[in-house]
Amino acid sequence: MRPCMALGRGAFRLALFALLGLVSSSALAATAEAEVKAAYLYKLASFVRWPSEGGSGSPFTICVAGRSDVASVLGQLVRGQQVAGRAVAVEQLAAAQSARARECAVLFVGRGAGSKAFFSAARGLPVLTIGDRNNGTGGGVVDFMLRDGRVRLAIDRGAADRQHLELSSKLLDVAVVVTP
Amino acid sequence: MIAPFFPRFSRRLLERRWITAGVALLLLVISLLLGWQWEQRENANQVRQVSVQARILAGSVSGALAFDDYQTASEYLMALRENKDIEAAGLYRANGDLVAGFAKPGEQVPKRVHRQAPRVDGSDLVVVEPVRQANLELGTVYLRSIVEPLSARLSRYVAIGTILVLAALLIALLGASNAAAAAANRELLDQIAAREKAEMALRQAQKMEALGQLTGGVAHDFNNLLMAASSGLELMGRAKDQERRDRLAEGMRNALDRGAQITQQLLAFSRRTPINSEVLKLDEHIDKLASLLDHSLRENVSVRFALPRDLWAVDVDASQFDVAVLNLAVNAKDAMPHGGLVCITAVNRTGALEGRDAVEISVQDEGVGMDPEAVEKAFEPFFTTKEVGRGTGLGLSQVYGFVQSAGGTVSISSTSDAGTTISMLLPRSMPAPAVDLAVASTGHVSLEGLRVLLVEDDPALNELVGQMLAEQGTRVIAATTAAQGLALFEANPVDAVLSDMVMPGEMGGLDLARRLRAMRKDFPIVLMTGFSAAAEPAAAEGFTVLRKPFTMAALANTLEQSLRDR
Repeated sequence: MRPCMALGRGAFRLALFALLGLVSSSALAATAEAEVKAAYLYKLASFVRWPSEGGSGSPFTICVAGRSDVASVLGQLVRGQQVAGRAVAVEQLAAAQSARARECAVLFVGRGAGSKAFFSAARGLPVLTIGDRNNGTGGGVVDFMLRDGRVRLAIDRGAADRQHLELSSKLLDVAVVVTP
Repeated sequence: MIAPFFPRFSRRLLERRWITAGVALLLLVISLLLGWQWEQRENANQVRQVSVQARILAGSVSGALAFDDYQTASEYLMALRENKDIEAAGLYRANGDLVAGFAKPGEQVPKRVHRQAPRVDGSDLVVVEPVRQANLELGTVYLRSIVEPLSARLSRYVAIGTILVLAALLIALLGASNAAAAAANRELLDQIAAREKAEMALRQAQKMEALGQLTGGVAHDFNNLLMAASSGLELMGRAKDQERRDRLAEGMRNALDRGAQITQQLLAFSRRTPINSEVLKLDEHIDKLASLLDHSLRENVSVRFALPRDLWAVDVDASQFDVAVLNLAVNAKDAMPHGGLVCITAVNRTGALEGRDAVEISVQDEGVGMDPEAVEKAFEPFFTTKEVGRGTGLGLSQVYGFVQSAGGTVSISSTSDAGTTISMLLPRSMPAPAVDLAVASTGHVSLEGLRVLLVEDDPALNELVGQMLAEQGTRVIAATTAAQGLALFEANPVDAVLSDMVMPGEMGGLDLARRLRAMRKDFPIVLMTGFSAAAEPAAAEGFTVLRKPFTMAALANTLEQSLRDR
């Protein structure tokens, strides 16, 4: 018998719980923002299912447009990593390379006015489009947005359907905005 | 067969101390093993339960952990607080940093964790489970759950454990006591065996002592009567007048009678007298005995009889019975030098003789009594408390021999100065008493002119018995072997056969008698013997047995009887 049983349920409920709700001290500094987004880009792939995983021979390409800093961090991050058995490759796209969008598994448009062109190039294709609302490139299946100084996710389920992507419920769980 | 087998088996099992101890120990070991196994299973179960919880948590928080949504992660984590068994829980990033966690008072969430298999840490169970999404490792979940503390588990087992230990103890105790009892029993049996051996040795020694006394006594008595006979013969040779010769002959006759009496009593003692048993109505018979007793006893000794009329008949040798009663009465008289009362009682005893009915005849006196040592030796031949010349020491041994040959028992109860009672238990005769034979035996049969075949291997006896037969007017055909007798029997007309029993050669007297009877049923045959061991089977087969030594009158009577019975 545990001695605490003698205290009864009320007493037990009153017992103090030490709550260590630690907030990460790595509150986003400006320089860290690129790192966070790069990491999220990589991690997002794990929460999404593509209709056909494609040949294992072709690399799993994450395309980054308008954010060379993110692209370079991501390049280091994914080195030697795999997604669904495919080697991960990072490709940096210039504004004029919107046609390349159809070749990407993940397409992040981080900045710049050409986001519409990228997204429409990928429309209807199994490409996880990612925008950044704070930088005016919203409209992807997933958008980054800042809230309380943190990078958060906004999700457009309709867009996901259009791209033939299946999103994990856990992703929806952490999204601050979900567009049906 | 199984039912009686088990108790016997278990009893044998319990008689061996080490087996019982082994059984008790085995029981304990088995129960400990079972308990341990149960514990293991219970532990594994608990580990599985906590692991599942950790896995559920890990699955739930993967999104929150991936995208640094610590609030959501915390909410998931805090949900575990509802589970009272969870002491502490923590959520860690892939790099090992603590993201969120809680702990009950007195408990702590570790700052960092390392991947490890579920382990029991004191009374707690620690489970560390990775947080994964697809192939991506996102962090770690740490759960610390209460497992039932050992003391609590032990207390749970205390009751059944106590019962088990008690059962084992009981078995051990039972076995020990049983083994002790068995050992004691074995020892007792050993002692009994040893005592029996000692008693047997004592009895043997007593027998040898008795034998010594017997031979000494017999030699002494026979010496005396031989002396009487030889001196009588010598004197007879010198005696001139007939009257003196007759007196000497009478004296020698008496000495020889006494010798015959002694051998009779010896044979009775050794139970070798051929049993001329007849069905005897004791009440009638003792009445006839009364006058004899009155003559034998002194004037100051009176005899009282207490004989119920419905007394059962017994199967005994009448003359031996008379002698036995006489011996007892004489002893009773001698125990009362100043006179007194001798009480002879008889009473029916149902099932007194090993379940058989018997008649008890007791002779009671008011005399000096016997000391225990005398009681013990009373039935031994030549044991006497009487002074030299008054007793032979054969009286009670005759009684003993008579009772033994009749298939009964005899007992003495005596107290010093308060008299002695000697009781004979004689088996009841089962067939109804035969009608008075006197009527049948009234007809006189003459032996005159009878042709008698005499078979006797001893030449002297052959001659003598031949003369005795001739004296009766019979014509004697003499043979010295059974074979010769048989041949003569077949070759000559013969009216009766008188044969010795123990003879050399392949055929004995009994064999001859059987052959003759097979040839001619109801043919009168008389067998002679001095050796009564041979007489018993012959009597049992219905042959007439004439005991040596015999008188001419006895020979004539027996022959006549056998002719009448034809």
